[in-house]
Amino acid sequence: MTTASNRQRSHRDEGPAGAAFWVGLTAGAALVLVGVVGLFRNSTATVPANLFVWLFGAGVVHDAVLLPLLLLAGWVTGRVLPVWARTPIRLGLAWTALVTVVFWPAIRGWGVRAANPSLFPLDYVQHLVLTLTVTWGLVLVALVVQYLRHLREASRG
Amino acid sequence: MTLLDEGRRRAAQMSTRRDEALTDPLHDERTAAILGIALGISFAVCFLTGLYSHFLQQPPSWWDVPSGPAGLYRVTQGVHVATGLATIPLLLAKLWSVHPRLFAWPPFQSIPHLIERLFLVVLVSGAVFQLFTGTANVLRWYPWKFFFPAGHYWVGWMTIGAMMVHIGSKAPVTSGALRRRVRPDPPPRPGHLGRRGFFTATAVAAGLITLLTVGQTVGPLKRFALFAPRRPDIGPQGLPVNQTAGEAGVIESALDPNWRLRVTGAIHSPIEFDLDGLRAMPLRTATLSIACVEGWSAEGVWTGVSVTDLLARAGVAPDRTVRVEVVSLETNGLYGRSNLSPSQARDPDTLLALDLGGEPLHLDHGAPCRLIGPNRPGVLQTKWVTELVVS
Repeated sequence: MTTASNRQRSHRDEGPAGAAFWVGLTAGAALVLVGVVGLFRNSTATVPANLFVWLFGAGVVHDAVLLPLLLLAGWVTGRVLPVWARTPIRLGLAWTALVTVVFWPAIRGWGVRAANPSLFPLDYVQHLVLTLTVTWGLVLVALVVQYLRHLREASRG
Repeated sequence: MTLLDEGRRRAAQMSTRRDEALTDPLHDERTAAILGIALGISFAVCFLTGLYSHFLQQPPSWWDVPSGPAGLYRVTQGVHVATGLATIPLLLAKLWSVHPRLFAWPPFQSIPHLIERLFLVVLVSGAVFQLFTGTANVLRWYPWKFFFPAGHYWVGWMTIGAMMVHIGSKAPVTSGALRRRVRPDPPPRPGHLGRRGFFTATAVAAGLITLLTVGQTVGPLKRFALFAPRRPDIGPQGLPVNQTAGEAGVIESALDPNWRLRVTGAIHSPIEFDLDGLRAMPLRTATLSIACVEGWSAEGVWTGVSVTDLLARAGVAPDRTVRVEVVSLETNGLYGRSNLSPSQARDPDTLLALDLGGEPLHLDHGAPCRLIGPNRPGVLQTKWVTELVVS
């Protein structure tokens, strides 16, 4: 066997074994069972049929939507951007997506209740604009630095 | 036959690509191990602080919930929410880092491997679900049909259990990856983040998410809390409100001049106070925080009558162990009643507050009188109180 295939083989998951696995499995499965039994015993509050859609939907949305979008963004930026520009722009895009998606309900005011002005008292749209302006300002600075470094390296080499 | 061969060839090709990806420092065992340990710690913190919050709200009958330290719940719930929010970039980084393993072919190699991967479905789904529902709750957005605290609580058990299975499965790999004396990573390829850069970017994202929200409970950071749903100083009398008198449907009954506070239950004979009668009792001032399950908190200077003084007036012997049910004018909703444990009922700082910051309580803060006590979740600081039932 060549070294390369040896190295590759070590990354192929053969599956868990040993005492740690069985101890973890016993304790962990017991806790999962506590959760599942609790869910069904409190079904008026937990509405299992609806909850399981959201629970496993969360995993599916990550693996089938978020992850492919992330990989696509990585692939597209790798295609269209020069090497020196990739890291700042990718980090800027990742942070933009994160902050926008996480705070989207606040930005859109989905939880606003007219009767209670102490809830969502800030201008979240303005704050998003401010955050993204600072973010892309920093990206721009990083791009200039990277570009100058790239020119210097190109003239040297 | 040729179709089958083609399928096999494709699968083998994908498998090779996957194995190549797993040699990249951003996708190797060491990165997975380090991010995994960080996630393990943050999920454990969320689970324990979440359990504490759950049992404060639904204490087992044998537990005399302690009334101190006064600000403990403020800290534990602040940590719960801040840790959960900071975990979002951490979880996304980890899932991206290990994603080539999702495409393992064949999908399992042995029965233990199949078991491990089935529990991984629970772990990944549970982790994403917990962070999603927790964040949505903080942002007061409820697109689902279940009751959030119940769903979040029971899935918390499932997630932490699935995490234990994962830890058991990966313990040898993790300790091996961390112990192995690795050569320093080669410099990252041009246009790529190295391992250190990847960790730094993840940590900075987690830190920024924290900075942009944690001012809802850490006062000095409030001007950075650009995305916090509350500011500790914004609201009537400089304090946020969770539910207004209008929303609770109590405006009329709270303003009614015939309002009375009754002390009833296992006492010689029920007693009754009007507002002047309450104000004629010895008054006590305490600085206590409202600490909401949604992670915001704010401190106020409250003046009112100690519950323990009211019990004495009702003839309850000072050494008797009592529990007190606090009843609100609010009849709809889940939080119209709350309970004081024996320790909480006897803590002199557990007040029926009449004033906030030296002024009579605002209607939205629970006028004519509200409960405010040390180490209690905000939802249990019952407003518009009309009756104390002693048992």
